[in-house]
Order: sequence, then C-alpha cells, then structure tokens
Amino acid sequence: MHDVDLSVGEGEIVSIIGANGAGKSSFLKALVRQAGRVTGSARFARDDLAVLSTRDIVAKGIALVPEGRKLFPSLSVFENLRIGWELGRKGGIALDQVYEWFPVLLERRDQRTRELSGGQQQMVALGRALLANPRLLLCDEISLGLAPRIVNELYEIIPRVRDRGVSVIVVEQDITRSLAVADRFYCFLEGEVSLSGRPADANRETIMQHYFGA
Amino acid sequence: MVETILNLIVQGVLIGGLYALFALGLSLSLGVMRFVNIAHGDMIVLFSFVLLSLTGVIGWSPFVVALILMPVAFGAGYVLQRFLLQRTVGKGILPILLVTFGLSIIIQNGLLEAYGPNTRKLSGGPIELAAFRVGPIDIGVYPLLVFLLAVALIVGLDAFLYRTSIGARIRAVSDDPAAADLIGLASARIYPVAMGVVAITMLAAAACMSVWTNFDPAIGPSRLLAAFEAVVLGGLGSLWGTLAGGVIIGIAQNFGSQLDASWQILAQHLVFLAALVLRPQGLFAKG
Repeated sequence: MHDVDLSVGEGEIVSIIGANGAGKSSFLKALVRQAGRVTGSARFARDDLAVLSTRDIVAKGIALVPEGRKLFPSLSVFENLRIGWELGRKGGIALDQVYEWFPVLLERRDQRTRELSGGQQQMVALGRALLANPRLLLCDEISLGLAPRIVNELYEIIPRVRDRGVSVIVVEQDITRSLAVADRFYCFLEGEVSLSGRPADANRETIMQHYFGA
Repeated sequence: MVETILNLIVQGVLIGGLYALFALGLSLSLGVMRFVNIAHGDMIVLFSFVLLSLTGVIGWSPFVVALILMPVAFGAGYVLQRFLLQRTVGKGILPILLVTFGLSIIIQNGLLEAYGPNTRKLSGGPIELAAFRVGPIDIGVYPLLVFLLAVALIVGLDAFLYRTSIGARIRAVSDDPAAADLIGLASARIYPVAMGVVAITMLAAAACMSVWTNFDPAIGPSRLLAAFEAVVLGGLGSLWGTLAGGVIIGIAQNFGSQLDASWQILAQHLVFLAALVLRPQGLFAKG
C-alpha cells in the first residue's frame, strides 16, 4: 500500500470499498499497529498512533472488528464481551446496551462462541468492539458470509453508534451496502485511493471503473 | 486378599495425589498455554534444592519456607516466560522444545556442580510418620494431606482459570494469540502471569515431593515422564483429569510392584499405553 491519504471526522461514517487485495484490511490493521512495518503518519485526535502499542490505541478509543470475527471460540459470549470492555475506554456503552442491540446474545451469554451461528458470532465481534467504547470504530467485512437479513441487523447498529458521536470506518466488498450507510467513501485499487467523495455525488459507472480499474 | 487389594488401591490413590501435584503445572502449560516444558521436572528439582538450602540455613519446616517463597516462585515463572520462553511463542513446536531441553540440561548440571550427585531428602517432621487406621487399612496423615492439597490446588486453579477475568484472558490468548493481539490483548503480557502460577504449583510439588521421597540433581526427567503420563491420561486441558491420571498411575504402580518389584514402573507404562490406545484423547479431554 502506498500514498493513501484518508481522514475521518468526528461522528462520520466513512466507507472503504475495493476488490480483494486492494489493501483495505491492511489499512485497518495498520491503524491499530498490527500490520508489520508501516511508514507514514496516523493521527488520532492529538495522538500519533505510530508510537503507541495496540493496547494503548484501543485504550485511546480505536476498536477493530477484525475480518473473520476472530473471537475466542472456547470462551463464552459473556467472556468475549467482557474482554472488550476491560481493554477499552470506559464510557457509555455497557453490557446492557449490547444485549439490548442484540437480544440473542443475552439468551446465549453462557454459551461458548464456537457453538454460535456465523451471524451471532459477528454480533459478538461487533459487541466486543463496541464495549471498548471506541471513538473510532473499524469494521472489517462484517457482512462476509452472512445472510442478508443478519447483515441488515448488524448494519442497523452503525448509525445508532454514530449518533453517540462515534466515527466509523466500514470496509466492505459489498458496494451497495457500504455506500448506503456512509457519509463519504474511498475506493482502494491496488493499494492506492482511486476515487473518493460522497456516495450521492458519484455515479455507479465511475465507481465501478475505479473499483476494478479501467 | 480383598484387604490387600483395597490397601493397594487406597495407597495408590494417595500417591496419585502426589503425581497430580507434580503434573499440575505441566497440565497448565500443556493444556492451556499449549507448549511442552521439557524442563518441568528439573525446575521442580531446582525448587527442591532451594528448599534444601534454605531449610538448612534457617531450620524451619520446608512447608513454611515454601509458603513464604510463593511470591518468589511466581516472579521466577513470570520472568522466565517474559524474557525467554515468550520469544518462542507462535514459532511452532520445535523452538520451545529446544529451549526447555537446553534449560533442563543447564539446571541438571548447575545442580550437580553446586550440590554434587548425592541423594537428598527434606525432613517434614513428625507428621511424616503419623498414620491412622480405617478398618483394615493404614492411612498416612502426610500422604492424605498431600492428596487434599492437590485437590485444593485444582479447585483453586479451576476457579482462577474459569471464574476470574485474568483466567478468561489466559484462555483467550490460548485460543488465538493473533486474535488477542488484534484487539489489544497482548499475549506477551498474559502468558507470563500463567507461567508465574505454574511456578507456584511447581514449588508446592517440590516441597511435598522432597519430603515424601528422595531426590538428586538428575531425577527431573524420570519424574517428568510420570507427569506427562498423568496429563495425557487425564486429557489435555483438564486439571481434574490430571488428578485422575495421577491416581491411575499410582494404582497401576502399586499393583505392578505387588506382582514383582521390578514391575512397578512397567505396569505404569503399560496402563498408560493401554489407555492411549483405548482413549487417545484422554479421560476428561475438554473439547
């Protein structure tokens, strides 16, 4: 990846779209310093992310919902969520709130997450990140492999989180889904930003060209 | 006849507690941290020699000294993991084997250099010989206390791993170290705590074992073998399974030695092999 210049305002939902291998996931991982060697600068409020550890970055308020969910399969729903709460910033989103957003997690709180369906696992992953009370939430392909109904349920949460002043970066391959929720978007192509703007201002044709490369 | 058999079983169960105590730390490192510590037996022998020296100087009971040394043991385990063993995490199974194998050789030779090859034993005081009778069977007070200590430690460790938040973090890192790092749960900070706890169980095992029986600088590996068998018999990740494994080994040894003195260890290995064939995942394996 190179020459990526990207900004997110407070309470803004920014979508990153792009084909497989365009560098979307690597970009998110780089923000929490889990992508090996990275040059360039990343600022979060007043903090230079390059000098912080992942743990400190999470405590400052950036939480990642990793690609592939990355839960701890032998731990219960509750234990997975609690780890997010313990590592994060203390703030308004508590366990009750997550259970209210995803009631099924309350029902299954003592079940190991390996026994859950994919959709429920993704709810735990999103809940775990939200419990860290992020100021910036990074969502990596949360729709991957899930039924549309479940994806809707997950995506309903994003605007509600934003209403609490949280900024969100959504990485998706599903362009329609991603643009519907976003205030602004960036299209990655082979590790560079090929197009950016507001979803309303860009027509489908142009986006497709920059998505796949002309 | 029935009395003899009953007696063999009871004594086997009691010595099984000692084996379980010896194997608890191994059960934790193997089942939870997922690595094989070849130096496990040698580290326990090292603690035994530390107790030997300190009790020699101060003159207190080895149990009291061990109790006081608990924080030191935790610190030693923490430092060992943080600055040495942690470097091998996530690099496959070979590096940790080589490092702990090297550690085993260093400890054995260091002890040989410092203490010589003689066989030692710690004195536990009058409690060592105390016994009471239940029906036709003599039960030693000391073996019974060791067994109860093993049970208490298992209850405590189970609660630590499954009821506390730090225990959940240890299991989380054990599930998926890379995922833990991604969300800011640094594996490098969690495993040293687990190893500190392992070292505390090692110290307890060292105190109990070196009062119960003789030790010398080279005895670690043979003890390690019994501990391995207890852990594998019981099933990886199950502390109660390790106790059951220890008990099975103890009973097998007793029956073996009843047939012929030379059969004691052979019977242990035969039972282990049979169990491995019949139930390779162990008796109480956690999925």
